[in-house]
Order: sequence, then C-alpha cells, then structure tokens
Amino acid sequence: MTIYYTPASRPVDEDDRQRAVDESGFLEAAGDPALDAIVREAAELFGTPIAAISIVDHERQYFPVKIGLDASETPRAASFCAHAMLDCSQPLCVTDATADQRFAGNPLVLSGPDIRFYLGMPLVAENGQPLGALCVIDRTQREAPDQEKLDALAELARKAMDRAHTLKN
Amino acid sequence: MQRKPPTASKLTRLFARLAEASMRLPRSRAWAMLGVGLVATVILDHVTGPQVNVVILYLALACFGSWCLGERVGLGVGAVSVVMLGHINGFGAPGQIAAIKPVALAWNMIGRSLSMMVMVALASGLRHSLDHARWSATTDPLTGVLNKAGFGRRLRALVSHAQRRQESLVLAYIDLDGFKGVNDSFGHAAGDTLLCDFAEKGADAIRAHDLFARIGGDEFVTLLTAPTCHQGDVAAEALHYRLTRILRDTGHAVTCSMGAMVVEASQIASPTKLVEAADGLMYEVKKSGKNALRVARLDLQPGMTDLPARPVPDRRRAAQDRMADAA
Repeated sequence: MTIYYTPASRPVDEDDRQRAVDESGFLEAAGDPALDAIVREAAELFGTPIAAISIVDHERQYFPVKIGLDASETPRAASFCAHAMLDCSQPLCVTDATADQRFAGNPLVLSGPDIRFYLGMPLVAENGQPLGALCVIDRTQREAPDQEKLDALAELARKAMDRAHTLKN
Repeated sequence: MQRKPPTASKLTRLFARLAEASMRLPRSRAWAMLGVGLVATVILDHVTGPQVNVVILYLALACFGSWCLGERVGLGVGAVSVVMLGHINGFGAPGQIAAIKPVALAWNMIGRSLSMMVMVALASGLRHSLDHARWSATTDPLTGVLNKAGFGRRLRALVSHAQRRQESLVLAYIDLDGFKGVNDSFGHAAGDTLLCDFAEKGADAIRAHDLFARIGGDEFVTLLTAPTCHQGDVAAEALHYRLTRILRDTGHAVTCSMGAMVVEASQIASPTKLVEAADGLMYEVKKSGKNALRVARLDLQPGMTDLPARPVPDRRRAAQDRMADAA
C-alpha cells in the first residue's frame, strides 16, 4: 500500500502569525547558548537523541538550536511542529509515527532522521500566535510520557519564550 | 443518440498526416525549407524557360509559407513568384516582348496574382480553423483552462521532458469541498463564476510551464515540475495554501481537498496511473474530513505498485453499464 502523509494546514490568520514569528527574535537566535541549554535539558529529561526548537517560518521550519539533527531547516510540509502548534492548549504526542495517518509517509519518517516518537510543546507568542514548538524526538517508538514530564517540558518552552524575548530587546 | 465524428477518405487522411508533420516543424526549419525551395524553383524556371510551366511549384511554396509561417509570408512568396514568373517567362527572354501584347501581359499578371492570393488565403484559413479546432478540443469552455483531453496530451509530453532532464514531478488532484452548496444556495451562475475565478487564479498561482486543468465538475488537476522531490513537497504544500486562500477570497464557504503524488520523473511508467493515484489520494482526503492535503512521496517507497484508486460507486458503475448497454 502506498504510504502518504498530511502536511499541516496553515492557520487562517497565517499573515498575523508570520508577523509574530518575524518579531519573535527566534529567527536571529541561531546557536544561542541559553536556548541551546534549554534544548539539551529537554533531551536529557526525556532521554531522546534528538531535540530542537522549531520555528515555522513561511515555507520552512527553522531550527535555531538543535541536537541530533544535521539540517538547520526542513520544508514546512514535512514539519511535525506545524501540526503541534495548531492546538496551543496541549502538547502533540506521537508515540509511533508509522502508525499515525498524518505522519506515516512523512519524508522525515521514511528517511532520515527516521522519526518514530515525537513530542512537541507549542511555543506561543504573547499575543497568542503560535510560532512553532520545542520538541523531543526518538528513532524508536515510545510510551506517552506522564503529566509531570509534560509539565516540565511546558516550563522549558516558557523559558525559551522568555529567552527569545530577552534576545529581541 | 450518440453522435459519430465525420469520416475521412484515405486521401484526406494522408493529407492530414502530412499537415500534422508540417505543423511540428520549427519555424527556423520551415524558413530554411522555404528559402531553398524558392531558389531551386527560380533556377528551374530559368533553365526551362517559357517552354515549361512551373507555376504549380510557386503555388506550392506560397501555400507552404502561408501554412507554416503565416499569411504575410505566403503573400510575400506569392509576390516574388508573380514577379519571377513574369520576369523569366513574360518579358525576360529576348524576342518575347513583341509576342505578348501589354494588355495580355497585364491580364496574365493579375490572374497569377489573384490565384496566388486565393491559394495563400485558403492555406492560412485552413491552418487557422485547424488550430482553433485543436484549441477548443483541449480547452474547457467554461473556465478557459485545459480540459481533460488537453491535460492528457500535455501530461505525456511534460513527463517525457522531465524524464530527459531528470526532474521531479508533483501531480495534484483537487476537488472543491462545499461547491454543491454554492450551486444550491446561490444558483448555477454563482457556481460558474466561482469555478472561473478559481481556475483563473489557480492557473496564475503556478508557473507558466506547469499545467492546470479542469477535469470536470469541480475537479481540477495540476502538474508541477520541481528539481527534487524534496522541493516537490514544498510546492504541493504552498499550492494547497494558495488555492485555499483563493477560495476563501471568493466569500463562499468552499475549501479544497487535494491529493498529491510526488515522484521522480524517471519512476513514472504510466502517467495515466499517476493521475488515477492522485485522484485516489484526494478521495481519501474527502472521506476523512475534507479541506486537507495528502502527499505520497513515491521516491521514498518501494515501487509504484498498489497505488490508491478511487472506488467506483455502485450507482456510477450501474450508470456506466447502462450506457455501455445502450451504445
């Protein structure tokens, strides 16, 4: 059977969201040590080989900081984080990407980095616009994490937003 | 009752094949052939003198020019021919002037000119009506974009072009969600306006050498070329977003479901199968909530076997059977 995937739809107010991205400070934050520490902490918290801050920007997702990934950006079409940010009220957890209709045929699943487990906490600007997500990724499937860990990841996402805010000013 | 196309005789079919071949001639080649033909004819005319009439060769050249390069070229060749005919056969050779009276000379010249003009006009008129018939056979009359036949014809050409250049292709099948509602609530005229608007702006949203066609009803199909499949994904996502915006701007509650096959051109064995597969994927989107895009990256999967296909509903199949029985 042919495997397919579903790129996330862009929000109705995408122009406003893009403006929030442009003004967020994340696009100029490549390699920032404080953000890097946050991503490292997230990876350690979940014990995953991959973690990143992904900012959904026009037709790409951009990783200002990341561990375990070679590319600094991928097409928006293949972005898990573009899905995660569509619902800012909760994290997106995919325990086995190959079993999820939205992701099974995703190039990031079918080829490198061979995503199986994905957990993304939406990064939300002060005006409520989603920018992307702080995510941890594994190449093997996993159980859904408990609430305590999710809360810790949410806290790290908040820290990342604060740091971007500081960088901007 | 089913209407059958007009039949053609063997001679007509032979002529049509010749015409077809000449229509594929590049302009530069046609110019070269015309030039060589004209020089050869003038030399032949000069060598044979007034003894042998070569007017048929001049006529053929004028018609060829008019057919391949346009009426003006045909008329130009005609004018040259009339002058050469007169010069070589009429008053070029010594002793001829006395033999032909000026009135007869003028009459001959006018006759030749008129017959040249008639032949040139016939050739260019035939070419125009053939071009127009082709255009209307491949164009959707409502929206002015390619129709199914036109798309099929261009698809095969574009696929082999992309295969030579080792490019990737995105074949996206698009179906409007909620279009029937527009027809029902606002009338068919409003529905037609929406289709025209969507087709015009949709065709503008892609590059000039890509294809955008209306397959029928509220179903469209598009073929995009991309340097790599990776960029094919980007193109498919961006196109779905642009089409969604176009539909939103119409003010109607219409969205689009899209199935896109992203494939390396070299993988494609049957372009028709690819269209069917994209249609099948679009149908999957329809079944699971509409207003979304699904992408199949065929370059990352083993083979193109078992492509999705839209199941033929029982009702439609029954109707097809009835039509087959009736025919």
